[in-house]
Amino acid sequence: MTDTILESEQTKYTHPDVINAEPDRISCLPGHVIDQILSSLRIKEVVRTSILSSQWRNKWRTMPNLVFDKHCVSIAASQHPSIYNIEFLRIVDHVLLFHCGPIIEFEISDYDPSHINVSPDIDRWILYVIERSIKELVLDVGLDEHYKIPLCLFSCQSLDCLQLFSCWLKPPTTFEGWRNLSGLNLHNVSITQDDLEKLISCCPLLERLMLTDVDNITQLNIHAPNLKYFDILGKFEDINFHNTFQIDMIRVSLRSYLNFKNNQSRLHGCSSNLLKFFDHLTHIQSLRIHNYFLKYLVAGVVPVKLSTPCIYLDDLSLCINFNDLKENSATLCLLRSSPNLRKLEIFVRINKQQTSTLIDAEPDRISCLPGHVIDQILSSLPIREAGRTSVLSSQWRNKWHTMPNLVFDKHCVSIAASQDPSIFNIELLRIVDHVLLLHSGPITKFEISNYKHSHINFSPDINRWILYLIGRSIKELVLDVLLDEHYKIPWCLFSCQSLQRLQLNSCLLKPPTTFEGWRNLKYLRLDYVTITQDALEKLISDCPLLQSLVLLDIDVTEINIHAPNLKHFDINGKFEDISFDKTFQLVTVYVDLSLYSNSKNNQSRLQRCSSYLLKFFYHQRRIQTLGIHNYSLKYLAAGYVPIKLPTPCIYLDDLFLCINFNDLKEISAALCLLRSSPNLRKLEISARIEEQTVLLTSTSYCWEDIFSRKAMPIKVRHMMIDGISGTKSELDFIKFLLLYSPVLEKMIVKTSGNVTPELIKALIQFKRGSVEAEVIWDDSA
Amino acid sequence: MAEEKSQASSSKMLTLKASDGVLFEVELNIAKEMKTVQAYIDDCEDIETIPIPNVLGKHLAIVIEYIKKTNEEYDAEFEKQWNMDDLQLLLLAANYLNISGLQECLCKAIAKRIENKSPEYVRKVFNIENDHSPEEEAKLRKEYKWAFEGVDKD
Repeated sequence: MTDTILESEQTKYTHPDVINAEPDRISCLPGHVIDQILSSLRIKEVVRTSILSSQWRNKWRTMPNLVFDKHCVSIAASQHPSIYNIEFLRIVDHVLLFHCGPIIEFEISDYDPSHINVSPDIDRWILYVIERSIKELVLDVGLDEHYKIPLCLFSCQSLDCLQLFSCWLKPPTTFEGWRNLSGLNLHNVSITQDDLEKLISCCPLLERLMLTDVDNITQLNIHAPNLKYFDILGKFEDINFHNTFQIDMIRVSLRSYLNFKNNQSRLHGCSSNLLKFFDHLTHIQSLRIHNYFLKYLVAGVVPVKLSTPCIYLDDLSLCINFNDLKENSATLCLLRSSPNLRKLEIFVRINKQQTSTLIDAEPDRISCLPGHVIDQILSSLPIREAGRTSVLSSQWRNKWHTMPNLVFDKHCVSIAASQDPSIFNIELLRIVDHVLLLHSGPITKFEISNYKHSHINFSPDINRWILYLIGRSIKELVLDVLLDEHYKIPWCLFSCQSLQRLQLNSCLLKPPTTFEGWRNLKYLRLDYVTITQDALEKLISDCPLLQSLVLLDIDVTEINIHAPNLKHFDINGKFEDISFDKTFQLVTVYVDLSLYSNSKNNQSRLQRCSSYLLKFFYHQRRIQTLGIHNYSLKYLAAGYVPIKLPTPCIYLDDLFLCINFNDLKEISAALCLLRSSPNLRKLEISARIEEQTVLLTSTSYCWEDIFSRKAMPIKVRHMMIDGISGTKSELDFIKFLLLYSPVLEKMIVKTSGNVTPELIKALIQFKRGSVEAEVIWDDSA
Repeated sequence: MAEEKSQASSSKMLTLKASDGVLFEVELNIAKEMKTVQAYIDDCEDIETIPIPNVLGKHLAIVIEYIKKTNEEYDAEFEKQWNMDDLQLLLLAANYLNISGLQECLCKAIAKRIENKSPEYVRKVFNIENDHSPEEEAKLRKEYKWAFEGVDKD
């Protein structure tokens, strides 16, 4: 180590800290390889290599790619715009001063000196790089007025790729094009239409052309025989391709469609924009038609398919306004003309002007759907979630206000609130009021259910809601509210003629005398509703379109169903008599008598009517499904039981019977039904135990008398018998079934508890009418 | 003769001999990626073994594998495996054999390793001996002050 240091480069200076053991890995690489390494680094880093060693001092000066952007200037300096701009200028000058050798790429971007006039500086730089045989030039400078490209650039014949942002291009009249230019990208550049067309046609090797927001171009004619890639985004009125047979990829995005006079007159001149567009694009492989460009293309005639198919078209992306028939036709035309299409992307455009300023932003995929489609989507969501859509965007704020189905149930209220019934109910009340207040448009369905019982009286609120709903043409109303006393349905509901479906639970129905029925009511379900017999019968008969009727726990003794259109009937409760009047359309009937009463009324009634069974089936011509549950068969068996019905139930397909096997009459009634149902295919029997009945023993009856009467074959394949305990009558019945079912495949027998082995043995021994019949024992609990 | 050769060119095998004597049999179309080898073949048509005096066997093996497998994913993983030694020799090999794809890939890889690092770090990575005097170094640092701001910590 020496104390004095000479500044001559000839004396090699040895740094005290280096232990020189391993060879230098990079400095010996050939010059162009080092250039290639450095070209991936930013200018700052490249310049820094000057201090690596004396050998490196000047290596950076020959680097051919010069990119000056925001990374040149330090972060500290870049906070203040004016300091940033001055720094930037200095750096470019500094580097260019020391640089030697050819410059392949020169880029200036992130430079916005705005009102400082740096045009002379940029002019100087351009002149400098032209002399260095610049091949690729990128200029993105933000001045107050577009930077005017100096004339010297137009005579630079080394240019291969030119990208200009926010500049002003005015070629001199002597300009004959850039002979070697293969790529041109103009973004927000001022240039006249003629100059642009001339520019494009004078660059013979032009392969890639990108025009973004080059305004004041109304009609663009593109003559570029070598053009392979074309991308335009902006506002223009017409675009024509001339001998561009090499084009592979086109991207066109029209920001807005103008209906100016020019456009109209141009339309008369050309018969079909679509045909004209595709005329010179025989080799096209990838096509993007975005924003309003499809609207432009459909002006004029839209053919069914193009005259020459685009056999190379592989990738198509379209932005369509589905409300425009012509655009739909054009899409179909394109699809028909692209036999080798492999990738298809479609965006939906709404009619309003797009306000987004992003280029190629992806359009909203849902907000532009027609209103009723959105309603349909929202109707699958619970109210809470539908309400939440209001925050999706300003457009979505009110979409849920028109949602036609309003269901308020336990899902509306948060779990925390739902623990305490009174809080739950108050919350629910608030939510319903809130939603109804904001709602607009018709309401198809309104439902309140899972209302918890509490002592708060909500009658006035429900009255208010019903009145409101009537004004909105409510079609379906479901009220399931549990108050201290049954909620009295307000009279206004009786004059609501839009009702089609009504479901009431725990209410009090007292129609006014002027009530003439609900003309459009198709479905009625009353559950634990207080109503008089007369009112109920009148209600049913006054609703001409009634198809489905469900009566659960209605406290009436007799009921006469007069409903010529009724198809489905379900009754469950304590009644003493049901009669049907002209219900010839009934298809499904479920009758469930929960208690049989031996009252005086019942006795006297029996004298008047000789056979309930006959009476019941008199008006059931078309019945397909019949369920006789609980004590219903006992009711039906009262009076005379025929051997079989006068008119067989030829449509009866599915039968459920609940039989007390100790009651001979019930057995007879069951047999009568079985004999009268020639097309029965599904049979399910459940045994009912009644405490008071005496067990039937072998002395009580004779099998042959009861069972062996001529029976029509039972066509059932699958039977199920439930609740068997092994009595003789049960076994006899099963024996009957097995004997007379020639196509029986499976009979499942379930027991009710203790079963003797004799029972099983007996079952197995029964003679079977069907060879295939399998008796399956199911003693699971 | 030349016609016969070109018809059979897709299946023809060629032998490359590395500097340390290791022999590699490659298909003709793989060997053609090395433009130097291609030039050799063009000059002497009948050759079967081509000597590669500047490249070691192990590096030639890596180069051949690169040519066979190259795609974007492979490139991304490829560069991470090698230390500076190998990178340099591979780069020299690629340069000599004139394989532009491999050369580009390796140059980018080297650039990545020194991106935004201080000169001290770069010196260490490449083992460059710093023979600037302290005054010289200081002067350079001052002159290109803007280039030395905002460097990664080592």
